[in-house]
Amino acid sequence: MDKTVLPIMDKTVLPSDKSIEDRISQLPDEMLISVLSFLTPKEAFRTSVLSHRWKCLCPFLPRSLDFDGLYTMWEIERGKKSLQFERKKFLQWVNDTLKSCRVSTIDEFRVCFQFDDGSKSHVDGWIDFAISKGVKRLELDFTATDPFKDASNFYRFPNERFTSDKTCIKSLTSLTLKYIRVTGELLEHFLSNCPLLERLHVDNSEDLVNLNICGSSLKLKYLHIIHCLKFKSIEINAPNLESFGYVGKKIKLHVHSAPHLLDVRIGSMYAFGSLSSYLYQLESLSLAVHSYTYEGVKFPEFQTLTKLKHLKVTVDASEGSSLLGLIPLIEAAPFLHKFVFELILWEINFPKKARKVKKYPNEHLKEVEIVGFAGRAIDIQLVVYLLESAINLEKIIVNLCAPYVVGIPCPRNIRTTAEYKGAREAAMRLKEKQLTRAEFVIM
Amino acid sequence: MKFCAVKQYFDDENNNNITSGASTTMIPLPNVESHPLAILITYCKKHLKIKANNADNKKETEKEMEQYEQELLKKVMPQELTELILAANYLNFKEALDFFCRAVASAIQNKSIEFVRKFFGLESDFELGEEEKLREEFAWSFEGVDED
Repeated sequence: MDKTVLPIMDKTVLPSDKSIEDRISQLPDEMLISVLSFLTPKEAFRTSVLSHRWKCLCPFLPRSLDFDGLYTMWEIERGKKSLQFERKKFLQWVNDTLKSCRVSTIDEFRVCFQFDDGSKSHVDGWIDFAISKGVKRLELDFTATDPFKDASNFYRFPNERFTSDKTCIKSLTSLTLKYIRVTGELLEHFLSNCPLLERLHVDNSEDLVNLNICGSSLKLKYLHIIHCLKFKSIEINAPNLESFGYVGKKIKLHVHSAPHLLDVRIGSMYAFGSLSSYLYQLESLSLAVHSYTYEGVKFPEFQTLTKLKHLKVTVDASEGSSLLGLIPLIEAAPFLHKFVFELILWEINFPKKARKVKKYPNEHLKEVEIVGFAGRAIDIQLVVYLLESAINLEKIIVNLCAPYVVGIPCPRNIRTTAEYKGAREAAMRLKEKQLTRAEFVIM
Repeated sequence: MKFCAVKQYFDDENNNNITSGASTTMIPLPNVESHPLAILITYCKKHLKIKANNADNKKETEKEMEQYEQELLKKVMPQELTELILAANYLNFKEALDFFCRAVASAIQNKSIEFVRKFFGLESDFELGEEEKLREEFAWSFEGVDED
């Protein structure tokens, strides 16, 4: 969602003269609605108490309903708030807003909070509401912070609603469902009956087993299936698909046709085989690998990635291992512009031995980012290699936060104070070595 | 041309009177006072200048524009904002209109209802007790408001 940044008013001073002329009432309704549209739904709602006229305006906005409870969820996670209590408040907030909403259509409907099947009647009602208003982008993010939560108790998407009434979802362009039970059949139904559907993202649905993406008029551009534990197979025939992501265990992955595929995100190496004929056309690639042995990560031989501009590798590694195995991958992309690697480090040590690696100058790499920099031999080795070989490097960002903490409000840094300090010092030392002319940013 | 209402005037003029010289035409703007008009003209000129300077770089344009807008807001009295919105609306100057609407939104963001009333010079036209009822009904939206 586009969040407009509001200009900062230094002097919100009240007029001392009591007889301030009421000019604002001279503005037409559209102007007032325009002002209110820059406020959050909650703040805009408050103005309905100003006068009768303002009360009548409120139902006409906003067109984008985003009920984001991310901050509250983290407070609950840290034990500062109670899930039951906050859930009740959240439900009331959503239901009240929807009850008084008079807009004829809405563009976006998003709810981000931990709900399960216990709130089914409410959520079903919200989905009905969104569909009745011709929603274009529907997102339900019910991410459970408790990893051992019983998946069978997750909210079940109301299949019955959609199999009978085919006319109600014509407007849908984007559907995101996280920690919600939805079947492959229903998703295929959406794909056949939503002619405008461009984006589909499903995360943690244990009811998703098979998926067949096909249709010559399919507008689907983005398809990501993440951590669906019972997922077995997927067939893809998508003439407009540009971004494909799959993270999970090994499945039958058949990409019959995806001529416009540009961006791929995959959880591990086995999917490479199925995508081998598309690697040469990719512009961005995101991989997750393990590196637990001394030799470290190893990639199979593959062709030159001629179009690759962005590469992101998430590495689960143990301390004594080596990341130098990533170098052939970087070398295979002669026009690589930006390389990001995220390090999740485990503390098993191997005896340290010197490693030699041949250096080839890399002319195109402009930007490197390391997330989860630990300042140990494993990552310093790779960073030094990159700094010395990327002769046209413009920027390097060393981010000391662990990868899964990035993007979370008020991150709790999971590293102990001593390790974190060591990482910062190692980063500073690297910076001082001045191995590169590039801008060196430490976060 | 940014001031669409003025552009319209020129277009009409050209249609009616092909031979007349445009340089000495007086355009009547009865609903706009001179002070807000002066600010709008400065804003417009600055906007065009910044855009010309950073022809290729959209990010730079946005950044510079933001800086200029912050400076401008320091000089403008909050109460003048209403005048500016009315003027920009009349002149059909979309960018300025968006900007001043955002500025007003920012001024009343997270402030109490009493503050907003004083700020706009609004009188409440609710019956006794009606307002109380509304406040109770929407109690959740009154959480986290700034102190006056």
